[in-house]
Amino acid sequence: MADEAAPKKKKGGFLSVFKDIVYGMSSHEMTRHAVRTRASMEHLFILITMGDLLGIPILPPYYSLRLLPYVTPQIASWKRRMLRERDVTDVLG
Amino acid sequence: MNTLLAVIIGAVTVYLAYTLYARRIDRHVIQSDPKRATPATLYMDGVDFMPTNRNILFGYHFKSIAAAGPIVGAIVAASLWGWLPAIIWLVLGVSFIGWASDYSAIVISVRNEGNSLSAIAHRLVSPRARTILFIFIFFYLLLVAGAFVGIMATVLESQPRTQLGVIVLTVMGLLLGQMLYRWRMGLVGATVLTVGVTMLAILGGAWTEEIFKSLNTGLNNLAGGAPIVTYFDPTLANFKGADAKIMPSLLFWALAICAFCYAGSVLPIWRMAQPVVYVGFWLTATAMVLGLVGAAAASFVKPEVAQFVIPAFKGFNPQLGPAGIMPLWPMLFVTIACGAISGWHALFGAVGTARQIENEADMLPVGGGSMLTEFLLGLLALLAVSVGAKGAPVGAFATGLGGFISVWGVPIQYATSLAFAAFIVIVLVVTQLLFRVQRVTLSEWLGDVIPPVRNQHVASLVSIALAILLVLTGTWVYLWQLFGGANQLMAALSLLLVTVWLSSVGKNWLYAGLPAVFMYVTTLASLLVTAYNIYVNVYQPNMAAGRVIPVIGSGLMVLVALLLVAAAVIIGIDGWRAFQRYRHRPVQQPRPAAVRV
Amino acid sequence: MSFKTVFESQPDRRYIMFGGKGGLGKTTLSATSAFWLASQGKRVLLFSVDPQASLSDIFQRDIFGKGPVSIMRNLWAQEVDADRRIRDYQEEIRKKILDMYGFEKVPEEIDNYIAAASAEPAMEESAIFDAVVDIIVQGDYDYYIYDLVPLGHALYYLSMAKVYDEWINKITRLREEMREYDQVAATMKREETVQEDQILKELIYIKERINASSRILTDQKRTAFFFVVVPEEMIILDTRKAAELFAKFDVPLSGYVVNRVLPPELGHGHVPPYLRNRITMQERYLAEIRQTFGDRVLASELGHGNVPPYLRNRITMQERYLAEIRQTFGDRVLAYVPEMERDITGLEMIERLARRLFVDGEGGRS
Repeated sequence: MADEAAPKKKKGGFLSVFKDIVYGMSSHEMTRHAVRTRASMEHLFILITMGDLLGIPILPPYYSLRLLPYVTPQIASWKRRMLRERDVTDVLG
Repeated sequence: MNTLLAVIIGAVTVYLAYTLYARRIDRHVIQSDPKRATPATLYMDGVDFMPTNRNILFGYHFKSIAAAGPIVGAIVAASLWGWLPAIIWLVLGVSFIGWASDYSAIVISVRNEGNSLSAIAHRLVSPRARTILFIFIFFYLLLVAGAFVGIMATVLESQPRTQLGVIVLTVMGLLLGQMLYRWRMGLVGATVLTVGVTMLAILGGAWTEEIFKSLNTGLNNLAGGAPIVTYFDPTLANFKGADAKIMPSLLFWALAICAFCYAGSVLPIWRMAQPVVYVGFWLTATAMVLGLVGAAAASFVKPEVAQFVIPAFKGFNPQLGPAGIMPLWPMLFVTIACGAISGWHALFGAVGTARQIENEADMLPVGGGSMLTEFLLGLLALLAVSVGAKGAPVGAFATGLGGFISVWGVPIQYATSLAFAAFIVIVLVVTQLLFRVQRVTLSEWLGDVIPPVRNQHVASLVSIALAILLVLTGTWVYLWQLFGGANQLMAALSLLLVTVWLSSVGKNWLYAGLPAVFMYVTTLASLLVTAYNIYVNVYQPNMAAGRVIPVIGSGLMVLVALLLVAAAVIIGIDGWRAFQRYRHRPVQQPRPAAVRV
Repeated sequence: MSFKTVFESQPDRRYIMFGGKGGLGKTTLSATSAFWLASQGKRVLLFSVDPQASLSDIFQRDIFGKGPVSIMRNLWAQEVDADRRIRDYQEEIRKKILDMYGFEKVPEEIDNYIAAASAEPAMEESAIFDAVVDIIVQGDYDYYIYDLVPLGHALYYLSMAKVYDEWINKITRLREEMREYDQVAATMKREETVQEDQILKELIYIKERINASSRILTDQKRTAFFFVVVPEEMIILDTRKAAELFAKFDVPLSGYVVNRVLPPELGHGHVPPYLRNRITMQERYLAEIRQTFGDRVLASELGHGNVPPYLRNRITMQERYLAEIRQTFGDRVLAYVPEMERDITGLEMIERLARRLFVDGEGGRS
């Protein structure tokens, strides 16, 4: 069924499409789990280190600023995710 | 009829449905736009939202939806009505309803900021629509878990060759988790080792056959040969119904499966649940690919394994039990769910797959393509049952699939072992995930009201106890059809939601609306039929005989069926109202068509 | 035990700190000790983070924010400009963000965060302690004498140091666990390597810094902590409370220095018998304490003659509080420092006081 999923695209060709599909079937879920766990830990980390913004002075602010540059790109997605409405079905994904 | 013809019909169906129908809907109704930014790219957070390549996503979505459903459903349907109605429903169902359901759920989520179906239902239909959806999910999980534990316990108890493979699979799954997470081994080496050893254990199941046989005998002797539960089973004695016994050995295997699922549910997901799924994938994929190609080639190479041996048609309303009815409509349409259409796919697609869609042009190949591919799996299962015939339904499937695999030159007894293992593994890995999801659902849903269920052990044990209770009632077929009803009601609901959404944004809603009505009416009718069947065939005879556990269990099932009907009626009214509201006054889509940068 | 013997008997105690409420003469005492140690041939750095630039005042030259400045042979003094340090630091962070991501300007949200974090009181404390660690880690002096921030701040930092340490350990573990998931994801995708986690590196750095600063405060072998008190009721009470808390955090308390002792000879003027008796009594007790514990009481005369009633009252009060100090802190009182006739500024005055504190055996009753 590879032809359903793959556009009749340029090079890389059939083999790379096939590899992607097999990867998607076999490993993507495990990879996704690892990546997601890591990213949600990252958000937890931001909460812990930058928590003084919410009035929780957890790390000395002098040092939390030190970490700020590294988490700058995640701050927006962190806030969005914290504010996002969640319900029971979200656990299915 | 032979298997080659069936495979050709399948391929043609997929091709035509995709190019003539699905693609047209995608272009002209949904107007998928590769330039429009998807939630995955807009809200990428690495957790829920993550743009993913379409081929990978196709594989991911397909694997997630291709569970035990199409196999079990085909097995039951073929033995009730014959193979012809089943194949017709598979072809028509997937072409006009199935792909549209999977695809539309992804579309509606992508166009609604990656929200889950329940969140969209809350907004578009009514606040209580969300609560009702939770009810569906909960009972869906409960019923399917009960059905799967029941069928697996039966197979494991009656097939002492299959057990070694399952045990080794568990060990290898744990080992793989350790290898990847702790020992940091390379993926290829770890895969080859774990899958190889498991495969060896599956093929070598005969080595331990005697041991497990004597284990069963020993267990039963321990209890003095007395059954744990006696119940009235309407499917026995050539569907006339007779008393059946649950022996200690069956309960033992049911509990062993539950212990496996319990571990899968409470251990970190990488420790056991995922590695077992991973190892299991390679085994089942091997069996399925060999089987599908074998089925096509069998007509030329080995025609004796490609002969249809069950009747094409057994009648519109076979008798089941002393007073039961099993009308083709509506019962066939809930018996075969996943290969034709399934509500679960929609639910999962909206939260799992939709949030990874990188480009709107990927929605059809991923959602529609996966569903059409799953249809082939359902077809293969149906073919296997149709040519297998020997033994109980599952045995027929394994014999048939083993025959197809043997086309490749694999000795028949090994091929059959592999087919049996493929069946058990595919059901087992799904079941352990089901318990996990049910545990989380239970604690999220009821955790505020009943604090103890927030504890993962309590929630897991509650889920398992309920499933075991259903197994002990012994009315497996009804359990399966009840599950199908809950599942297809979710499908009807998701299609209804899609219809409401389409009308709310001023699009042509017919492609989702007509299937929604069909599924809605069909599943409501099927739930009522099942409730009736359980009442007259199971509840009354057991009540008369004073058997407590089957009475409680089947009473529970009747209650669940009626509850689902009530919930469906409410949601149908709400959906109709919402539909009317939007049809007369469509609202503009809330999200502006942000352009990808 | 006297002030001098504390230094002489514990040569390993290279980090000398003076604590006490603001305005009790910590700067005077730390400058005096620094002077004496330097004159003994030790290389001494005297430093302060006091925004009031008290070292500049006492040495009568502007050293604020100028790094270590040589005051005399073997003696350097440094005043940290904490505000500027914070400002520079904010800039550094902003620049780092711009560099790392090639932004034109720092995103508003992030900028607000930097501003908000910098406005917090805890910001100053943590910046100050970081500066202290910088000074101690970088230099190669024999003695570091720290004119400590007021007690409340030190206590706050001490109490937080342990919490911080545990937190950072937890965060570091979280980070390490994240790294594991990173590696697994890479294995699954069959990618070669995982990028080094810069945050983990930073955390390890921060952990070392916080540990270093709390270690300096609590190192029994290398740190000597002196409390400065004056004979006044509130001060004695506060000091006693602070001492209990410090003990809880394992701060090695080396002793107490009683500052601003009005000379008891005042009592020889025309004073009422009651006061005279009290002064005599005080002398008797002081003598007894000196005899028993070998303390050195330093006092200077203000001259005899007619004493105004106001001062007389002060002396009376002081006698009472001195008794209380002796009762409370006992043999851990190392010195009684006399109120000098004028402000202690300039090396000359410092030298005079140092002579009294460290050299004149009889406690400066010259």
